[in-house]
Amino acid sequence: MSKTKIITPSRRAVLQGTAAAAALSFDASLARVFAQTSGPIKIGVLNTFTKSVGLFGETTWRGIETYLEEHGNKIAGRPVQLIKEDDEFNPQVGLQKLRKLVESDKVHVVLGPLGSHIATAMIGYMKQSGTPWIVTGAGSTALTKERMPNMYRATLSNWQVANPMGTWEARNGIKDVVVVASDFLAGHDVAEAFAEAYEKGGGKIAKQVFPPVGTNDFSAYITDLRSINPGAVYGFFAGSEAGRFVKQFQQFGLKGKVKLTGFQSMLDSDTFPLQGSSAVGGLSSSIYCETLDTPENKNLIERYSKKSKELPGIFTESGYTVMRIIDDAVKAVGGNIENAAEFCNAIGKTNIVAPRGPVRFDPDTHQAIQNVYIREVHEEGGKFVNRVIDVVKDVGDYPGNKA
Amino acid sequence: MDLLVSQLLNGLVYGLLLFLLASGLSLIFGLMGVVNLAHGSFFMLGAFIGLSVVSVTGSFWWALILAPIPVAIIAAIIEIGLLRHLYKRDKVDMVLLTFGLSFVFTDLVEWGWGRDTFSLSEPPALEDSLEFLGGFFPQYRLALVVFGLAVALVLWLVIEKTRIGAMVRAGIDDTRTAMGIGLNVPLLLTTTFASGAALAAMAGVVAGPILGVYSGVDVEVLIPAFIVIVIGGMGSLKGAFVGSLLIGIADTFGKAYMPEASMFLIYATMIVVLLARPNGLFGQAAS
Repeated sequence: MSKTKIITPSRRAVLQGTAAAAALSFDASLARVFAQTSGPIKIGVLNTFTKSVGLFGETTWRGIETYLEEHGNKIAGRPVQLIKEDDEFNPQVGLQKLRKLVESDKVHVVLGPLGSHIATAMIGYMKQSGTPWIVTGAGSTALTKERMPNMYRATLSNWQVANPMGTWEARNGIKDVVVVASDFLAGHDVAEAFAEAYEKGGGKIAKQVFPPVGTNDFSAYITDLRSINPGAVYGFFAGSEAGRFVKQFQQFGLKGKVKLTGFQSMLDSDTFPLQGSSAVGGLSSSIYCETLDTPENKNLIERYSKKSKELPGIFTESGYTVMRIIDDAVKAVGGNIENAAEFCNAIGKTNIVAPRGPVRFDPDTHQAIQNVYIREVHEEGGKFVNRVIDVVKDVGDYPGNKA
Repeated sequence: MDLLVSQLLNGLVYGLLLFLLASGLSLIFGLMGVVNLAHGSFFMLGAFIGLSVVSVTGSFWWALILAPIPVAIIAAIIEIGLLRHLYKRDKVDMVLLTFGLSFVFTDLVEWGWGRDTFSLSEPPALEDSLEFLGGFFPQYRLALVVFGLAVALVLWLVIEKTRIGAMVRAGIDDTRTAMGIGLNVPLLLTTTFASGAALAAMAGVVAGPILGVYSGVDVEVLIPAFIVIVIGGMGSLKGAFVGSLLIGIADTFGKAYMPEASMFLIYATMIVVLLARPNGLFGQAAS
C-alpha cells in the first residue's frame, strides 16, 4: 500500500529522457535480435496443483518433466525454462497468475489450465495478448468454438470422449442407463454428449442426476440407483469424488448388478489408488490408455518409471505430448519461438504419433483429432490397469463448433 | 420397502454425524452464550490429527482414541487464555474471536498437512457390506449408527443423571445463581468447552472415511450443525438430537427424490420449524 510520489519533470528533462529512452529501446531491440534463438524458451505452466484436483496438475507437470529429461532439457538447441503457477482451481487466481506469466515473466507459450471455468475466464485476455496458448486439461466443449488463432487444445474435448461412449453402449446392448454427473460445466457437457449419442443409437436414458460439486457422500444417490435398477450407470466425476463414488458404489452392493461405466476421469490410473478393487470391471472412454502396446507408449512408461511407481495416466501423457508438440513446432520455425504467429501456424501442422496414438489438429477449431479408447479396468498382479477393448479412430471436434 | 429403510439409514448416518458436532455446539452456547464459529475447526483438526495417527500406528482405533485429546487441550487453552476474558464484553466480540480462530486453524492445517484431499480408510474389520432386506449396507456405516446412538445415550445420562450434568444444567438455566450457590462455574465452562471440542474431533475422525479429510471441511459441517441447533433449540441436548436426525433424513431424501431441491429442503425444514416454534423445538424463550 505504498504511495507513489509523482514528480512533474521539467520540459528539458522530458526531452532528455525521451532521447535516452529512444537510444535505449534501439539497443534493446538489437539485443533482442541477438537474444532470439539463443536465450531460454520460457514456458508458463498454469495448472491446479492444490485442492481436490491438485493431483492432475502434479501428474501433468511430471509428464512435462519426463519429456524434458528425455531431451536434455533443450528444445531446438535452446534451454527450456519452466515457470509453474498454481491457479488454485479459481478463475480469479488463474487470471492473476496468467497476467504474471505473460506480462512479467514474458513467457513464449502458456500451457493449461485444468479447469474449464478458468480456461473460459482466460479467453478475453489471451485474445488480446496473442500469446500462444496450448490448452492441456480443460475439456469444455465450447472452448474450441472460439476458434482463436493463438489457441490449440492438445487434450480432450468433453464431447469428443463422451459421445463415442454413448454410441458404444447403445451398440453393445447396454439398456436404461442412468447418468450421474458432477453439477458443473464439464458434468453437463459430458452428460449431454453421452445422452445424445446413446439415444441416437436407440438407447433410453432412465434418469439424469447432478450431485453438487464437492459431494462426499453419495449414499442417497446410490441407494436411489438401486430402486431404478438400470443396465448401467454412466458417471462423470474426477479426483477424490470419483474415488469415493466408485468405492461407495461397491459398498452399497451395486457392483456386479449395475454396470459401472463413465468418463475417463472416473476410472483412471490417477484414481485407482483411492478405488482399489472396487474399480475392477469398470468401463470408460478416454484418449489414452496406459497399457497401449505401442513403441511410443512403451518409451513413455519406461522413462516415467524413473519418476513414479505408477503407470502414467492421461495427464502425464498430456504433459509429455504437449512438450513434443512444442518441440516439433519450435524446430519447424528454426528455433524462433518469438515469432508467435509462425509458431502458432507450426503447431497447427502438428502430425505426430504420441504415446496416446496419432495426433493432429482440426484446422478450423484447433481441437486435437485423436483416437478414443474404450477401456476396462483389470487387476493384474495386485496392480490396477485399464485395457483397451475397443477403439474409435480419429475422433474430431464437436460438429457444432465448426464455422 | 428395503429402499426406504436404506435411505432412512443413510439419513441416520449423516444425522448422527451432525449430532456429534451439534451437541457440543449447543451445550457451549447454552452455558456461555458463545456462538462458537471455531467448532468446525475442532472437527477438522480431529480429522487431520487422526490421519497422522493412522499413518504412524496404522490403526483407526488409535486415531479415534488419541485425536480428541490434543484438540481438547487446545480448546481448554483457548477458553482459559482467550474466551474467558471476553465473557463480560459484548457477545459480538466472542463471535468475532472464534471466527478469527477458525481462519487461524485453517491456515495451521494447510501449513501442516497441505491443501490436498485425504481419505481416511475405515478399519479393516468394518470394510465389508452387510446383506439385508435384499440390499447391501456398508458395515462401517451401520457401526457409525450404533456409535452415534451410544454417544447420544452417554451424553444424555451424563447431563441428566450425574452431578456434573446437574451443574451444567444449572449453568445453562441461570449462570449467576449457579455461581451464587457456590458452583465453580469457570471450571465448568472450561470442561464443557473442551469436552465439546473433543466430541467434535471424534466426529472428524469417524466422518473421515465418509466425508474425506481436507481443509474446508470445517465450514461444510459447521453450517448444517448450526441449522440443527437453530431447529432443535439453542442449549438443548434433546433438541440437538432431534434436529440432527431431522436434517440428516431431510437431506438424504431430498438428494434421492428431489436432487435439484435438496439444499432448499434443509432450509425449508428450518423455516417451517422456526415459524411454528421461534425458539426451536426444545429451546427456552430467550431471557
